Order: sequence, then structure tokens, then C-alpha cells
Amino acid sequence: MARTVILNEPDLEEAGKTLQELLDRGAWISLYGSCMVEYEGRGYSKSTWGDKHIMIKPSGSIIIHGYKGFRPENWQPDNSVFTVETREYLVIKSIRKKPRETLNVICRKIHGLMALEEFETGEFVMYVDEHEIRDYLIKNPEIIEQGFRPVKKEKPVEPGFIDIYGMDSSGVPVVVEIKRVKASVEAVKQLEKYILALEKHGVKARGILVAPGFTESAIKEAYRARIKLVPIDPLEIRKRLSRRDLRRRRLTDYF
Amino acid sequence: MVASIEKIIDEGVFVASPEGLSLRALDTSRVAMVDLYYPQDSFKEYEVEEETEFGVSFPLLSKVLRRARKDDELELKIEGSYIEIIFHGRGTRRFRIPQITLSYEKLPEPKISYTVTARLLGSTFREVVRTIEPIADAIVFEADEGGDKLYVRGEGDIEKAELILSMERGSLLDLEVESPDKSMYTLEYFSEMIQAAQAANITVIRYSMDAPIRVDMEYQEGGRLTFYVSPRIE
Repeated sequence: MARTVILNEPDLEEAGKTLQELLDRGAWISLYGSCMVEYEGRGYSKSTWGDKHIMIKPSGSIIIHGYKGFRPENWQPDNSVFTVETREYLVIKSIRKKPRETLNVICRKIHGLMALEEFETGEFVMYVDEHEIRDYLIKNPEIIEQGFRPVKKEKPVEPGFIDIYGMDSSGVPVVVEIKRVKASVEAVKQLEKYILALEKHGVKARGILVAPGFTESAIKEAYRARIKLVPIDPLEIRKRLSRRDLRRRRLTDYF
Repeated sequence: MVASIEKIIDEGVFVASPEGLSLRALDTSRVAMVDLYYPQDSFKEYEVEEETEFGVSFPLLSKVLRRARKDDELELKIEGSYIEIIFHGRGTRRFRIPQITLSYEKLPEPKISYTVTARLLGSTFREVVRTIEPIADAIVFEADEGGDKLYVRGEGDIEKAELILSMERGSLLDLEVESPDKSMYTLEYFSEMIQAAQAANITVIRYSMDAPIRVDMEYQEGGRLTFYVSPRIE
């Protein structure tokens, strides 16, 4: 069960102290205040005093909304580092290392602060992009074919880039094309173009098309062109990748 | 040395105490930590009456220190909210940079019991990292069961490289192996450390299975710069 912390119109000192404690505990924080925001990094921006809604997530991102529109006015991505200082104003500083970006939220009044701790994380189903699938397949080449050895990713050929170029168990060159959605006949044709381009340089390669599914015309064309079709489950790959992300540790875990 | 710190952390707070000068700071992703200690007797002259903290912007400090010439003597003075950096060589050059205000968070030392300790020349460490840099994004250390070799592997998506360091071949000065552990780290941090290894006499690597690595650079004058990096667990 989630625990909540709610402060209604706290003074700046109390808000600053609570905010620091909540940040240290990795809480999910939301506050409304009369603030000014300065951003410096790839550009410079400054907003004048106005009421803002600021959200700080446990993953280290900060999102600042104004009263209208659905896009935030400012934000910093995950793994930003926060400092809180209370003097004349309450200043929340968020720093991103690379590229170097600094976001200063200067508040003269906090209308309300609310935070959640021990919240339910739920599940957000998101599929992977082609690059993530590609990198996953390079690390797990047996999914493509037993004995497949990746040699190069994004190998340039005349019509474009081969997602994964490798060798099969008998040493025959293989061109692997990846689609993150159901592959159409166009995907098969694209793969054929890569094979032809290699043939012009005297390389006789096989083709493998990897996708979550294939249209009927794609299946027919692949059969004709002797291209192997390998179905994958992007959701499963996403789950495996997320599990791997969870294993990334911070030094502070060892203090 | 500062050039190497600069790549890992942007800002940090030095603590000058009568015992010596120290700095401990985490990088923003909290994966790596820099820990510097120069005891008072490693300085030609050292005058600190009471513990003083001063915040430094490393890109700025590094810019000034790059102006140093070989054989220059360096003087560091805290003057109000400024840091004065004076080079004494053929003439005197004086720089003033502002201190930065940072909230100083006293960081503890990570609690790790290391199972593998290897000592090597700073130049060997630098060469190892430089060798695998072009093909790898991860560095793997593995001690062999006999306790006389340390395998250092570079792993990229596809490419791999392996270097074998041993006392027998002179690439290691010393190797202590409690258990033949293996651990993987992001290579980028090591690429950033090697500038500091250039001036170091000896580099000491300590690690254990899936735990942070500790890399100490020991300098002739008695100073020490330590890097900690969290493991990558596949």
C-alpha cells in the first residue's frame, strides 16, 4: 500500500527539508508552487514567475508543467542529480552530466507538496525498437539460427544498411533484416536488394528476415526468394531487456 | 590527474585539513566515485590551520592547470570565495578562479571485501585500456585458478579482445587471488582514468565477483587517487 506525504502551503524551509528527505528516500514527488525556471545546457531558457506543477520521479527525472498544453515546459531525463537549497527562495537544482544541462527551479511559494512512497509500479507494456531487437539478437544469435555468428551490425551496402551481417554454421554469409512489426512483402524485397548488392561484389549470401509476424504476400515472396523467416516476440524481448536494466547497479547500493 | 577527474565529475568539494587534502565525489549517474587524498607531507609546504572546504568546477580548474609547465611548482591558496593558483617557474603566473557553492555530502567508502588484488605499473594499466578501447564498451577482469594470471577482456557487441597479464611475463608486479573471480565494468570510466595513470607509478586494481572495482593510482610524492566503478551485471 502506498504511503503519502502531503503538505498544504508549507513555508519554504519546511518544504525544502521535506523535499530533501523525500529525494533521499526515492519518493515520487509532485508539487505546485510559484516558481521561475532557468535552463542552461544545449541552449538557455528562462521563465518568469508563475504557478508551476513540478514532478520528480524516483528514476531521477524532473518534469515541469505550466497551466496549459500537454507538453511540459521543461524537463530533465532519468539519472539527473538533485540538490535542494533554501535561502530567500527554495531552489531545486537538477543536473544532467552528459550533455551537461542544468535546470534551476526557483520557488518563492509552495502551494502544496505531495509525495508517494512504496507505490505500486504496475506494468507499462511497451514494445522494443529495431535497434534494441538488433542488439538483443547479436547477444543471443541462436534465436536467429543455431550456429549463427554475427560479424557486423549496420553493415553499409549500396541500397542501405544491413541490420546484422554474419555467418551461418557452415560459413555461408547471412544478411539479417529486422522488423519490429509484422513484415510485409516490402521487407522481403529490401532484403533481396541487400543480397543482390553483395552478389555484385562476389559474395553469395543467404537472407533471414526476423519479425513478429509476416503478411501472406511476404511469406510467398520469401518462399520464392529462398529467404528464411524467423518469428520473434518483441514483448518477451522487452521483458528480458527490462530485467537486465534492473541489474544495473549504483555505487550507492554498496555504501 | 585533474583532467581525468574532470571527465568523471564536474564539480566537487575539496576538504583541506591539517592532515592533508582530500576530495570524494560521485559522478552524476552514481556509478563511479572519485576519491583523492594527498597527505600533508606529500606537499613541499602545507599550511592549513583549520579544516576548510572549497567547491571546485573541474573543467575550470583543469583549464588553468593545463597552463602549467614541466618543473613548475604549484601553489594553491584559498582567498575568500576565490581559489588562487600560482605557478612558480621561470617567473610567476597567478590565476584566480571562483569557488563554487555546493552542498557537501560526506560520502562513505563502499563496503566491499575484495577477492582479487593486482598491482601493475601505471603505464601497463594505460596500455591495457588503450588496447581494448577501439573494439569494446565493457571491460572484464578474471583471475585464473592458479592465481598467477589476470585475464582482461574487452567486449563489444560483436568484437572481443583478451589480454593476459602475469607476474611471470612482467606485466604484473603482484597478484593476490582469494578466489578466481570475474567481474564486468563499463569501459568508458577506465578510458577516463588512464590520464591519471600516466603520472602514477603504480596502479592497484581490487575487485570481487559482481562488485564495484577499486582502482588506486599511487603517485611518487605520496598522493593517491582512487576510482570506484559499479559492476555491470549481465
